[in-house]
Amino acid sequence: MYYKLSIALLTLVLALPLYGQDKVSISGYVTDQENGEALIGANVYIEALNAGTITNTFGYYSLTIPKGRHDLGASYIGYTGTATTIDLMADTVLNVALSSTVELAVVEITAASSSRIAERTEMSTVEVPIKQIKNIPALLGETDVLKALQLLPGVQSGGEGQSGLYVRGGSPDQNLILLDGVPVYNANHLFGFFSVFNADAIKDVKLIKGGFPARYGGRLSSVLEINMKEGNKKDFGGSASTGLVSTKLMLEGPIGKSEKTSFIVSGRRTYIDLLLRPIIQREFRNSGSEGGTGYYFYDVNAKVNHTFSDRDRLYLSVYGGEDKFYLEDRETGQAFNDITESRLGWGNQTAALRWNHVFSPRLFLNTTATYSRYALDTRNYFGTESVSEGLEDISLSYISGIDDIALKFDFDYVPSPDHFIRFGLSGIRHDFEPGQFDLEQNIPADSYQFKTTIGQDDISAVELAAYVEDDYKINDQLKVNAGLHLSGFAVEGKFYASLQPRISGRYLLTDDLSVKGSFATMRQYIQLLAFEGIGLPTDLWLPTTERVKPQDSWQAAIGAAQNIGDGYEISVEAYYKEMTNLIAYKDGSGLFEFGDWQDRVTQGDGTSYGLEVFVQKKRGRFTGWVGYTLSWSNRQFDDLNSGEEFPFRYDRRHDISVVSSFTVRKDNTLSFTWVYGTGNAITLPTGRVGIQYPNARGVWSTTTDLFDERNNFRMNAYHRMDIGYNMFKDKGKWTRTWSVGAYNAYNRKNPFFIFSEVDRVTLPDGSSQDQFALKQASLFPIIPYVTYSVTF
Amino acid sequence: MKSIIRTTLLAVLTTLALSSCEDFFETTIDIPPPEHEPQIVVSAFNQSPTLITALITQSIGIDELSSSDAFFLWGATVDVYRNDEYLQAMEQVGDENQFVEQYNYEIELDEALATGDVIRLEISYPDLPDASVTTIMPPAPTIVSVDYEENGGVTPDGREVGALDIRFVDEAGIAAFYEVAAIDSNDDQINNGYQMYLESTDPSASRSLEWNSLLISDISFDGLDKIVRVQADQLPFKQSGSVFLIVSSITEDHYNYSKAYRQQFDTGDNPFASPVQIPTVVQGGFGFFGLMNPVLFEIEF
Repeated sequence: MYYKLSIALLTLVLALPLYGQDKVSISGYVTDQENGEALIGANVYIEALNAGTITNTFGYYSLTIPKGRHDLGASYIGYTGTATTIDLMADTVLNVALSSTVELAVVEITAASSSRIAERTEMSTVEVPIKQIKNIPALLGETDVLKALQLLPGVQSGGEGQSGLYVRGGSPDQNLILLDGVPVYNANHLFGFFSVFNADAIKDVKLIKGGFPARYGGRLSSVLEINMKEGNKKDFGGSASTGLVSTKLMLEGPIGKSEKTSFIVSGRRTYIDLLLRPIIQREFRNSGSEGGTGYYFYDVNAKVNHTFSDRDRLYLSVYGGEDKFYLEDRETGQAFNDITESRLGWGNQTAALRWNHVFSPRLFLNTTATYSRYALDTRNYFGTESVSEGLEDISLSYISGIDDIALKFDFDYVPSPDHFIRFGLSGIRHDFEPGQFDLEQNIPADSYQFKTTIGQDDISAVELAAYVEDDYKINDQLKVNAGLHLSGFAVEGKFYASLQPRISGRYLLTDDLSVKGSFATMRQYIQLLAFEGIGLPTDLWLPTTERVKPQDSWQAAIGAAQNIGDGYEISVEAYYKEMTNLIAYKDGSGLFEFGDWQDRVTQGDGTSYGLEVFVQKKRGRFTGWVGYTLSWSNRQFDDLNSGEEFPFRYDRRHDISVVSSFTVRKDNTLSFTWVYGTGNAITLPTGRVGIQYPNARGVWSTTTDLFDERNNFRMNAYHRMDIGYNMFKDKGKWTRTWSVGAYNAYNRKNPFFIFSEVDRVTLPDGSSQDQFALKQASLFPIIPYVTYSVTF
Repeated sequence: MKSIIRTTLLAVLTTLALSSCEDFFETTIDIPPPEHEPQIVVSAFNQSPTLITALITQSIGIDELSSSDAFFLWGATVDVYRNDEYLQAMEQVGDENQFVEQYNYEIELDEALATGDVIRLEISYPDLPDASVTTIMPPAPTIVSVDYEENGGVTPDGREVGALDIRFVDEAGIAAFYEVAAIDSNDDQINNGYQMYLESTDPSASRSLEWNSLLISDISFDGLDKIVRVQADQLPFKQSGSVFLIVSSITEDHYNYSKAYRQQFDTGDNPFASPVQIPTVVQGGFGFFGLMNPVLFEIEF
């Protein structure tokens, strides 16, 4: 069926009428007047023709319209719109600069535009302005992009404080996270409590949960596009801040005086290890050792861009981040001195070189070359040193990771006012390191030396993709986005291929109300072998192989969207998603085991369906949203739970989020969020059994729990309110901000995990007896925060 | 106005923060326990080449307290087959009034177990589904030497320990699994000793379900000459008459069963770990049957 649909869609695209004899194109870039930053998703329109478009990721737009005199409007959230009257007799380049509104949190939208939710063909897509993300109260005051996205309907968090995204019943590895177009494989710092994205360096965040346009592929559940700032082209500036977790610095500015080149560099590092280092070293010395222990993470973003001309622009962006735990303990002054060293480090490095070329006002090309690496490196060393025996030691190192090199070409083609065609192709070379142990042992007294390497050979694979899609305005009411995504994966002499049709559309019932629908098939060739519940650095990216099949999904959604009054948007969507060949550890298997990883995993299926309601207010002193999700998500693996279907750990029947920000005065904002979610599904024992086991003197016996059903129990519901207050003050050449607030403001005891105990209870008659009890542990009580920052 | 808002906000936050410290992390919750259907549970091993013992119980609901009466199946029929030939039923040890051993059924074989012997148990009990379980006797381990070194390093908690270097000659291409235990005996009699706690930093070794023992897999040294260093308290070596080291071959199922149970015990308090489901090899019930083929080393000084 997919192939027939695909052929029909392809025919539709190829049969597009070619317009042009009596039409001309107007094109250019829309930028921020103050700093020259490109504005992504800005609206450019000619109201009289009911024609419009939005700028692409680089701020570029193109409109093909009849010759003549027109009023060209441009608008963008948070900016004052403009209107320009132009006589169009030939193809014209017109760059537009918009100025931001004066008030910090007030959003101004002028005139009708295609950013209105009712008019957009795309569904299941949300853009959250970075200004709004920064206003949301955060755990320990550390602004977190991913945690802000967890407040959207259809997006769920994992455990308490975790930054992983579970989108419409999918797992975190099913999210394609793109930082300036480069996949980021591990988006977690500190075991998932913070994400790797430094909000100071980010310009734009967009999440697609379904109805995927054909230009995206490679993951089942979502696409998260994060674009870094380009750097101020006009003035030097920056910001610095310090909070309870980290200290940050961001600098940006022009290079040269031509306003054609700019840069931005930002960095963030935790500092608790530096503060504690002298104390820890002193404690080690007091116990007869040299050494220390600690943990830190850092990340650095940098970007340079240069405008050669209106036709050519170049962008180079890099990111590097790492978490590191270390322990070194060298005993001194003994006959036999013990040495223990432990190191655990993980991190991402990405780089992207992007070249924009405008072939003609109607044809735009972005060429991207990228590099992405994620690696985990651990080492444990134990030794004993003595004069008589020398150094006897044993060490075990473990390395795993993934390296990507990719090249892709993305074309935007605007042949007529009614068509916006995108097409392109890409190739990625993946190099997987599925985990390699190096074991070394030395016993000089026995002249014994042992050295071996255990693990899988590195695996290389090539992933190819090509796509074509058309945003086609059939008439004033009906608009569709139809496309095809073709992908292939070559690994170990085997080639997998997949043709994935995509279609979404909207039908305008009135100017403010539309109904929408979408259908998308997706395929994923690489997967994360992970333990549920926390973003561990040991989670392992692995390829599809001859034994491990690629994951597939299809998702259908219908919905309605309405603009109400001045700044309100409402959308309602129902979705159904099926996933096949999902991957999980077999019972009792773990990461740090020798042998073939393929022996330790099993594959199964999943289904997810639900209803999402999203009400948003985007304008005025009071902004924010309310999101509600009603959903079901299940899994079925032949090798797990006796082959029976079981609820996904994050199957969450009800999920509510309320996010609001209120501008108290020009320079102060009060924000609060409230979230509610049905408790996670967890596994509790259903029974108890008696066992015996041999020991050296016979046997011993005990009783133990019997787990025979997966995720058979619901934790208590989770709810929490966070509040924050930002106080801005203009100090002339710089602005300072105090941010204070509290996470879990009403001190709710939310469930983190459940355990059972037998308590000895006293009865009314004074006697006592054992009583079985289930108990809940919580992680975070109310946690106040304070952050100080300056911008200059 | 601004200072009032600021002061009020900080006061509220401080009050809430201070009030949150008491008893936050643990709450008893009131929920109905999951439903449970009882089934036969088998836990059977050989204690010597001729003695097989079994603990035959039934599973109970999670909220039923662990009175032994709720567990033990007295009067069950436990038929024993050797290489598909019926031998006899196991004898009951003790009764509902007297649980004399750590097991409640046993069989003394006329002929010692031999490598490759296949033993099957068939268990029946009124009102419970019948159960059966089969296992095989593994070959004895091939070990070149066991050497003791007094200065075997220091444990993470600061104890100086001795080391036993067990040198395996591993046959290539054949997966082998072992369990290692040590006994401190004051009078050269193994039956009068106590089991010593063993540990190892060697990644081939992991802790057994029996806390003091270690499991070893040859996956990391398949076909190689390998010394596995096992650490133990120095004192018994210094003071006792004898220390016995027992290295037993076990089956892969046995290794996985013991390791899974140890993981279940070890991860019981880990909120990030999925509870480990214990692999069962019992048809119609739950549990395990393992045969061990040991070699014994007496460490002398």
